[in-house]
Amino acid sequence: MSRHPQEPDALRGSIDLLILKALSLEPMHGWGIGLRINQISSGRLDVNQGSLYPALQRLEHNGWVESDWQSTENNRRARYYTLTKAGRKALGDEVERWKRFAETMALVLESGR
Amino acid sequence: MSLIKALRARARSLFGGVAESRMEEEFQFHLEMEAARLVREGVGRDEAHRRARVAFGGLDRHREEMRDGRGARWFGDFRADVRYAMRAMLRRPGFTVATAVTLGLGVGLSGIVFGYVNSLLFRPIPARAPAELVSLFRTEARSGNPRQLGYEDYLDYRNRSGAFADVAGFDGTPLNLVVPGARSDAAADLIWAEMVTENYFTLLDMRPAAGRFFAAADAPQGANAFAVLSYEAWRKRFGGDPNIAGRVVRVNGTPFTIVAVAPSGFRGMRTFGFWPEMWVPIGMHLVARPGSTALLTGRGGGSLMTVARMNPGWERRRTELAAQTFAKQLATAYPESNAETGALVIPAKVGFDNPAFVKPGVLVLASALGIFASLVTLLIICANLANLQLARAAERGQEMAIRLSLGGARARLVRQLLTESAVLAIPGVLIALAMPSLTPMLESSFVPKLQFQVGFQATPDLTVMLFTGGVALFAVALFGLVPALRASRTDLRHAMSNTAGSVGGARRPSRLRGMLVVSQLALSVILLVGGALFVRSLIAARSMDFGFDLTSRAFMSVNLGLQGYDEARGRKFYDDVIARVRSLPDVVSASWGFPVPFDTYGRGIGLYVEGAKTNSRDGTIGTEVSYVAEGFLDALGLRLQAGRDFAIADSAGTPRVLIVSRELATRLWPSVDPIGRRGRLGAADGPEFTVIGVVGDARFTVFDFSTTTRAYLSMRQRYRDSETLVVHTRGAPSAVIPRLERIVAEADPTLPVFGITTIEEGLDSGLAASRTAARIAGFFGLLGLLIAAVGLYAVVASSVTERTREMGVRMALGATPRDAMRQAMVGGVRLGVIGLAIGLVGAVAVSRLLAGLLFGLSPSDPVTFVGVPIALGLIVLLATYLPARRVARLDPVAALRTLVIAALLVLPRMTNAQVDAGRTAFDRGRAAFTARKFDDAAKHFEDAVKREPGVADYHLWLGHAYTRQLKGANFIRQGIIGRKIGPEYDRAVALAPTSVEAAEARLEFYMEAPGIAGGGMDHARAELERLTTINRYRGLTWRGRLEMKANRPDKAEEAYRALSDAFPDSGAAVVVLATFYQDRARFSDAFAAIDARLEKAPDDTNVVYQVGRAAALSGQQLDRGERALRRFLAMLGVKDSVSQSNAHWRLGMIGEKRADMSMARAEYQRAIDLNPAHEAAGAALKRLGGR
Repeated sequence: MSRHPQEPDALRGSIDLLILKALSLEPMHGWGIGLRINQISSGRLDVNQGSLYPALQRLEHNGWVESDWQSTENNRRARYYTLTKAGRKALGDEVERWKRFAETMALVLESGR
Repeated sequence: MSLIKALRARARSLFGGVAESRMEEEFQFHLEMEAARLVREGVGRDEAHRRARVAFGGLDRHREEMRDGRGARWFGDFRADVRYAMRAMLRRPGFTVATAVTLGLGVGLSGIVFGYVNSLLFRPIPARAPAELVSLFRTEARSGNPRQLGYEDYLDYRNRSGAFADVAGFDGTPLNLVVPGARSDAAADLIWAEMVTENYFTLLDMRPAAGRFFAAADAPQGANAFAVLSYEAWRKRFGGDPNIAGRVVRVNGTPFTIVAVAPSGFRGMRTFGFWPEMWVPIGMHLVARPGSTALLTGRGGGSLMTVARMNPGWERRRTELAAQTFAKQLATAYPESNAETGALVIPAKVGFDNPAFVKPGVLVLASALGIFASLVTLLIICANLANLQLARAAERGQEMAIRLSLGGARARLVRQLLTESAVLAIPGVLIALAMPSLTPMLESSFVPKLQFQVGFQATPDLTVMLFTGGVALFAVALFGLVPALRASRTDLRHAMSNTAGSVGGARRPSRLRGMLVVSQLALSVILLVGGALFVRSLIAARSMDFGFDLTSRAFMSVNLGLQGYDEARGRKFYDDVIARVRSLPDVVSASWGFPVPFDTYGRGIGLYVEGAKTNSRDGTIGTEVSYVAEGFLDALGLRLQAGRDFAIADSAGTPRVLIVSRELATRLWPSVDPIGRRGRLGAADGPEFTVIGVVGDARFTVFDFSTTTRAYLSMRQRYRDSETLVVHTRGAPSAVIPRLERIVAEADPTLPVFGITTIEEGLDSGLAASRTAARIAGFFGLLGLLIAAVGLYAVVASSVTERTREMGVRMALGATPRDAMRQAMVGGVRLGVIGLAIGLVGAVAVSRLLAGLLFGLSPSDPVTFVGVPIALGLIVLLATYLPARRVARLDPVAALRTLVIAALLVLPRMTNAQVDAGRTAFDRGRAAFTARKFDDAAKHFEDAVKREPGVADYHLWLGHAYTRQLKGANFIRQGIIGRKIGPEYDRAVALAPTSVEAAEARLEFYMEAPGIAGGGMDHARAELERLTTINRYRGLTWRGRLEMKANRPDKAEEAYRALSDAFPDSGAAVVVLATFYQDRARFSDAFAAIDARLEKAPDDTNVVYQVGRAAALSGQQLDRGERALRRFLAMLGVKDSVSQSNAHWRLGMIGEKRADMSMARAEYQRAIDLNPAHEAAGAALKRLGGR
């Protein structure tokens, strides 16, 4: 049986979305992605840093990001992730979808008052 | 996405080791970077590392997830699907078992049928290059019928024709086999064997299981006493002795040396025939078939079957032409025997036998029909299971819709459903794969037990297993994929339309589905009635009068002829043995006879009697005959009715005597006493006989009851070299049998006995054919019934599921669960009754055909014809009741609620899927409306109205959007927009004249809108009347509002009073009235209304609150008001901060009225804590100087 509870689909989707968004500016290593998400959200979204990696792996499987090993400014080897063309398109779709979902949720939650 | 990239990613992930170290490096890098960042922020080094780890979360967990995701993402999903499917299976054990059994039997049946086809058409011959093997027959001059060859013809074809590389011949024969050393069942027996030409094994070129096959060069004909054992005989009679080669056995009393064991699975070349246990060289024919001096001579009328190997590279046609050319040469050379005869060459693989006996074309046709029938059965099963799955999938339609809306890919869902089907199919497939291996068992239970084994040796080989597995895959795909595809294409629009309250029209179960169920039921009725008749007849047969005793009789046969006995030696043997048997203590009587009851074959004879009527050309009357010794009638228990039994004195040389059965006597001499009458044996010039006795009619076979005429001849006058010992025993016959065997062994140690049996066993095997028929009919009948029951269940289940909403609504409207259930069952029961009725008519017809096979039972046996339909009727009821029961359990409210939630979640998916442009626009409009973007909302609704006109909701909401726009617009725009509102509401009302929502909207519009925009009280009053007819409650409520608007409070009071009078059970009506009074400061009236209600319903939460509200506003009954509000707070089951806040606000007012400012302040503060947006409480608190 499952060794650890799985994140709900919605949350998993949102991590993917955040990563894609973070990578849309420039290629980045995993730590940098976590930092950027934290910055963009003014610290409100504190993503569990470790869970970025399975998500990145997933995105790479989907062909939405690519990775290769490069040197950092400090001359360390790090794995850099780059948004692919498909990833950029997916980002657009995901954003659109997320907005609709949020609207609908709002609709559901606000109705019946 | 790029395929190549994806492949590369996947390929990389295959190298687990590299991926693992890279993952560690990446994690390490992350932790160090994070720690470094923290150090820069001034955190201590160790603390920084600790915090970095905490922020990262469980390292192992992420490692594990990465590993899962690396290669096993697909597999992980698969595992989850399998788990889900298994849970679903366990939740519905009945469904699971039905699926497993029907699928297993269906697929397994195909496997078994294919096994037979495989063994008949593509028989695996363990010979070298079996495709080169053919069989040669000679065709008769006039008829062209294929015949076996004479030995000299055979030699010429082999040596001189050049048509074949080689030709071998074989001829089946029974043999007395004795294995010296051991004396057991297997060691001495009458066996089936084949005499084969000495080149037989050389031609086939098989690899022996042991030893070395004999060949022509081994020894000259007549001196080659060699024997080859079949694999089965080797196992059974020699325990698989590895040193079998060289062992000596006695064949018909003569020593033969076993040289080899044939490979497993080789049972001679004939498909239809006894399985040979032994092959001996044809050169030994004088031993193998005593007296066959002419076997190796002659041309016409021969008995050799042949197997030939074609010349290398030759086709069958070319070979046949060459053989036919040679046949012409033979015809010229030997015109007296071979004139006009031809040659026929057929391939050895396809049902190898004399084509006059079994036509290859018929075999192919029968095989095709068998496969076709089994596959059709399987298709029906799959259709049933697919129906079931569909019904189940429809139940889960909402789940599907939700998952699709949450972004679950359709392919993923299809895979999940397919996995479920596959998992569900596993037990069935296992059953199916096991079934072909039952074939030998089935065959042995279906094939009657004869002295020599027969059968089609349909052993399941790899081909059969592969076929069965393939069929199983096909079946799973069929019954899994179709529902999967259909269910995942969940009809979003359908789901939505249900939320709008429309009751979906119930789809009728498809006609085809119904017809399938009816025909399955009908067929299973026929089969089950047939099976039941057979079973009943078997029971009846046991108590039937056969004309002799059915207990305490033992039989044992010998064949002296094979052993080379002459007549004198034979007679002495018979006399010696019978004398010793009769002297045994437990023997009542004993005699010799042949045939005895339940022998496989009978013997016939023609009797010539002056004046007897007959149709035959030679003037004789045919009858069954038995050659018996004196005392046979006693030994068997036949009843002598007149005259006397044979005596020792009736021996060779004395006048021939005859005993006849009663029926034969009646036929030969209808009107006179038969005793002393004379006739002739065989023909008008045959030896004369005199009738000395008449016995009661007896049935020696259970196959054919039409004739019971039988003549008994004295074997002292007519010698036979093969006879059966009949012994009447005092105790159990089986106890005597070993002593009988010992007596025979003492008389001749080299003579085997066979056919050792008791009369009960004889009857059993005699009834084997009926039992087989009963089993087959019963098996297929039950299978058919099971399939039909599952089909019926599926039909009812899917119609129930399709109509769940309808049923829910009906039940909400007052139909009882019983009504709903009855309605659900009607369709299924109707199909069941039709099926049963058709089946019964068919069964009556079929039972007439079976009449000849039923013993002591009327074909219209009432027990069968009443019992089977009743049993089936119960099953039909059960199969419809079980799924229908779900209707009764239906909770209408829950059903509708889940639908609403599902529909709302479907919204985002809807827009994406472009299912329906109008609907999409409408949903967007609703979303925008909710977000208070009324301009956008209006645009979307306009779009919706344009794309899909005629939907009341679209117009209604467009009206709402305009109304909201109006409120924020300037004066000029108000004029423009205002004019647009009325027409939209008009249209909404026109499209949905009974919609309360539309009526209220238009009413409010008339009430509120200025005259320039189309408002006005006259319009409003007219609309109010209309609303009141649709919904009196809402009408009265709005009447109050309207009268207040019109500044006529007395009329409003009237309306509100009418409302609470008309709906005495409605707390809400009382609240409306009480609020009205409070607003007009008529507190005593308010309290009166409230009290009246509380008397009836003291726990009506909203009315309880009104007590507090009235107290707070009036300053009267303050203590009661406080108590009521505290009670109200306690009664609030759920956390509802707005209601709580309001209650505290009112408590604050009560405090103020009491001048208890600290209470007031505290309560106002609570109210604001609970609802910071509570302005009135905020203002009050400010006034009191708090905060």
